[in-house]
Parts: sequence; C-alpha cells; structure tokens
Amino acid sequence: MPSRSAHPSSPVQPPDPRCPVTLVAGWYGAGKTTLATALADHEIAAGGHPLRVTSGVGVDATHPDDSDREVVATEECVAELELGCPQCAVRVDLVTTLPHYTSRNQPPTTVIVEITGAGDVVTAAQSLLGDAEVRRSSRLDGIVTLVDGQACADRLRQGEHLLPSAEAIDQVAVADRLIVTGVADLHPRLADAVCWNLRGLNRFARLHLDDRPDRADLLAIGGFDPLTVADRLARLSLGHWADEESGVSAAVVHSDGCLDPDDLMCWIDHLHHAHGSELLRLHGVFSIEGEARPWVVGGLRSVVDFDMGAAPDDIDGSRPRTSRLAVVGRNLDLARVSASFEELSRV
Amino acid sequence: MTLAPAEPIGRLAWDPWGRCVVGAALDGSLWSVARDGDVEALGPGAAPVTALDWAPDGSDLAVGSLDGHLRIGPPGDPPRLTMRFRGSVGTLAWSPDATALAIGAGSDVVVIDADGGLIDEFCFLPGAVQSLCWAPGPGNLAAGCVGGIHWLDVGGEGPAEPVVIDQRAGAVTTLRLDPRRRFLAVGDLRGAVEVIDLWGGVTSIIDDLPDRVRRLVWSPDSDRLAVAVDDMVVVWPRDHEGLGPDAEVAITHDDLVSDADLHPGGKWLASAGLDGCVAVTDLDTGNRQRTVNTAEPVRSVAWSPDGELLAFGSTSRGIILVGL
Repeated sequence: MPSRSAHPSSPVQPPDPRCPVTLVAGWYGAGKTTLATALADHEIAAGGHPLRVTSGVGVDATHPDDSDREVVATEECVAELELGCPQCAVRVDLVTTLPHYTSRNQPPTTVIVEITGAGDVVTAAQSLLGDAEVRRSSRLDGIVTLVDGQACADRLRQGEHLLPSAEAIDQVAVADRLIVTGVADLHPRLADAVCWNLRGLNRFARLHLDDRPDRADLLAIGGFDPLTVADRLARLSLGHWADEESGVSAAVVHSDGCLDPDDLMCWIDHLHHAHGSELLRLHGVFSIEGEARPWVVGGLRSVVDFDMGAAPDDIDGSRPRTSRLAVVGRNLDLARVSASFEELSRV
Repeated sequence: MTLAPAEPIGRLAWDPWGRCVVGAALDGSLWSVARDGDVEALGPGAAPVTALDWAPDGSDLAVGSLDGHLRIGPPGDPPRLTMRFRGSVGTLAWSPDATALAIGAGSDVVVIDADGGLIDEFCFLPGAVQSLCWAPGPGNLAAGCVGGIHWLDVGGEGPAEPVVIDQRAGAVTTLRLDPRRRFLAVGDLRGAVEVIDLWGGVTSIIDDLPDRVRRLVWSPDSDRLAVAVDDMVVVWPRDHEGLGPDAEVAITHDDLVSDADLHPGGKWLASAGLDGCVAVTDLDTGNRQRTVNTAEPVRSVAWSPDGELLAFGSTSRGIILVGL
C-alpha cells in the first residue's frame, strides 16, 4: 500500500508557511551548480535567505563571506551512489539534514537542493513529499531539470538515445521545468529534434530554451501545490503518449461524475501494486461524493499526498463534477489505466 | 528556569554526574543549565550540531556538526581538540572505558583515542553512517548506515575491515545496545525494528511501523525497548527470544514524537513531541503521570542520571528543567 503523507480532511491553509524546496537535477556537466548558485543569488536579491544543499563531499558547509547564504554539503557522491543504495542514501541525508534548517525560528526563505548527476531525483523528491518531519517544516515546490542540448544533439547524431542513462531519463520525465542549454549553438533542425525528443519524455513541463531562464519561474513552481496542480491539470489535453525507446509513458485521463473515496483509494493502491517503482509521478483532481471541494493528489512512486482543492465557484453545484488524472511512468499499460479510471465513476 | 537562545534546542546531553545538561540549538550554539538553574551560553556554532556525547568519565564533551567539525573538551572552555572531516559528523560514540571515541562522518568511521591520536581511520561504509555503538569484546564497534549494519574490529592488526552482519533493505537510522550488552536493537528508515541477539540467538523483527524509527531506548534492566516512531512511542517487552509479540504500552502525541527517554529507574518514560507536549508515562500502568504542555514544538528530552530532573529543549525558551 502506498504511504500517504496527508489526509484530505486536513487541508493546507494558504499561504503555506512551510519552506519551499526546489530540486535541481541534470546529468553531469549540465550546469546544475551554476543554476543553483544563480537561483540563490536571485533569492538574495529579492531579500530572501536561501539555503543551498549540494551533493558533493568536501564542499564547505557555509560560506563565511556571504552571510546571506548557507550552503550545506550532503554526503552523497558518485562513489557512494555506486557502492550503496542510492535511494536510501539520498533519503537519509535529506531527511536528517533539512529539518535542522527549516525547523528554525528563522528558517531559510527557500531551499535549493542540487541532486548529483546520476542521482535518483524521484527518490529525493519522494523523501521530501513523504517524510513526516521534513513535511512539517518544508514543502516540495518542484523539480527543475537541466539538459545539455549539445550533448543530446551529439548522441542523436550517433544514433543513440538523447539521454545517457535511465536516471537521466527519469530526471527529465518527472521535471516541472526543463531547461535545455546550448540550444542557440545548435543547427535549428537539430535543436528542434532535441526538443521534440525531450517532449516525448515529458509533455507537462514548461520548457526553457534559454541558458538564463527567468529565475522567478524556477523558484515558484507550485508543482505540488493543490491550487496550481488543479489549474494545470485542467489545461492539459487528454491522451496517451509513450517514448518507445525509453519506455517512458504518460497519460491524461478524465472521468465524469463524483468518485467514491474508498474506491479511489483502492484504485490508487492497485495502481501502485500493479506498477511499483515504474510509476514515477501522478497528479489528480478528483470530485468526491459528499465533498464540496475536490481532492487534489500528488504522488511520486509509492508516496501519495492528498490535499483539498479550491471550492468550486458554482455555489449551487449545477456544474457537472469531473475528475482528471495525469500519470507518468515506465512501461505503463496506459489503456488499462485509462479504462479503469474511467470505470471508477461508473461503479 | 529558562534560557532563550535564538533557535530551538535540538539536542540535549546530561553530564554523567548529573551536574548540568548541555543543549545544542539548531544554529549550532551550545548552552548549559546546571541543576540549580544557572544558565551559561557556551558559545556560538557555525553549523547545526548533529551529535553530542559526554565522555563516560564526564571530563569532555564531544560535539559534532553538519559542517564536519568535531570539537572535544570541557564545555565552556576552548576545545582541546578540533578536527575537520570531509562529511558531516552524523554520530559519535565514546567507548565504555572513555579511552576512544568513534566518529561517523559522512560514510567514514574514524576512531581516535582520548588525546586525539588516530586508532583506525577511514573505514568506508557504503553510505552515510547514521549510528555507532560499542559492543562487547575488545574493540568491537557496530556501525549502522544505509547499507546495513557493519561490525568493525577496532584497534586490531591492520585497518578495521567492516564485516556486514545484516544487509538491510531499509537504511539504518539508529542502533542501541541494551545495558546488559547482549541485544542490539536496530531501527530503520522503512519503519522496521530488529533485535539481534549478539550471543547468537534468534533475531526478532517488527516491520510494520508507520514511519522511520527516530529513537530506540532500552530500559535499565534490558527488559523493555521503547521505539519512537511517527506520533507515538511503543514499548515492547523483551523475552528470551527477543521482542515479545505484542506491544506493552503505546503513548501517542498529536504530532510527531521527536525524542524519548527512559527514567534510570525504568518505570517512567518521557516523550517529547512537536505538538509541544512532554509526557511522562508510567510503564507499569500505561497512565500518564505528568504532562507539560508548551505552545511550541519540543525536540529533545533527557532524564538526569539520578532521575530527579527531566530536561527538555523548547523552541523559544531554551532548556527547561522540571522535577518528577
């Protein structure tokens, strides 16, 4: 059974006082450190006090010359990720380190976590979403993934998949923001091919083709904020997509009418049982029988977070109630997922 | 008797003679409160303190922090020994005879003697070291990390080579040896508690806890194990085969339990929660003997060695002492 980090009967009251956490992912050399530093500088310029968590050994824990910024080095490094259990390693460090800062009386205004090049960003995000202590003082705001456009183009030229590993593919597949660097130096057709291939892995992320994207757009993503999620889901086109080479697949499905909450819980449990760790990310807005406000669900692998969405603006309830789900995974049986979800409202 | 550091008190450690309790705030500053209420600011810190442990003879306090610094010395004095590790100091453990200090820094285990001389260095484990525990036998050290529990023969011929004694699916979050030094309790990230009989008997496992195991506490007679997990502390009896099948007592809070400590007499369990409540529970009856409600999260709780005072660390009022 997936772990659920909140119950919809306890809605988050806006504004959320918890410290937002942005994960910066990307393969080696994609420019994560440069971007994380730039985001921290942007936050400082806006009067904030950011915390940057890096993924390397030997990084100074603090920058004494810059009192506006704190930098924490977690223990993950390439060698350890290869030797140990990368999923656990990432989790332990994050969940034990973050509350030292975010539980303070004067916590950082934002946290920027730089994931190691080969790091498992889904597990890192999952730990932020699922750990009770971490969730108490911080909230996952979103995942920003950098992609080296030149490296992708080189791989495409050689007839390979544009990304070098399963971890890199996951980093792209679950991102809220995709930044493709070096696009300006590519031939336009090659740049188009890179973007087209990336879109095959992630149809939902906002794509930045600028080496210096708007920092504010990367620090206020709201990727797991119920209101933002509901708004984004409502704008997505329905359908199924799959990248055959990598197996990454995604779907946006819809059902009419209200759902029985127990049936919905069972369905989500079944989805996890059927797909396990192949299920990378899901978001849903569900109209529930007897509830004026919809349930908004965000999930990463086995962790599912429930919140309440905004009350509908039709006070008399005359507008038809609907539910919508977006799911991303590997080798998902999308037709079956869609059919079973649509079936839910007919039970 | 209160003290007001700028940030919440995250960790507490009574000196072995019960003369004072030292607390570390989340900004790394150290504070001390004596039994008579005298408060002393021991100095600022550069990074959050992640490990705090008194030498068994009470001579030195070892303080490890997230920035990889280790300071050893009498509290309030300039440290007589300062070391810097490449990873954050996650755990410390003095040997029972106070002659050696084991340090888990990043994925390294380093053992030094009381004067700072190296005994064994750079024993790499496959992930960040979360807990260390000196076990019976000369130089036996148990280390828990993401890859499981490892046994180190410290001070033997050649460098200590870690021997995996338990490869776990979930990362180890804490280890605790019982006072009789026979049973090693292991808590992990996935909510499992395992009790290993070091004499070679059976191992018992409880694997259906709802969250990562935050704290393990043995009773002085080794007959009970308290497990702090999620919003509760569950106490299991121990029989000759390890943990009994059913929990004896379950103490619940309205929010996460941050810390728990058993009274030296073994009768009372103190638990602190982020709900602002410090509860003292009679383990024989399961009834709450005393409850202190503060309006803010409490992150640490510790009985004095004589059991007369209970210290807890508050969010804005520093270290608070209460009599039983």
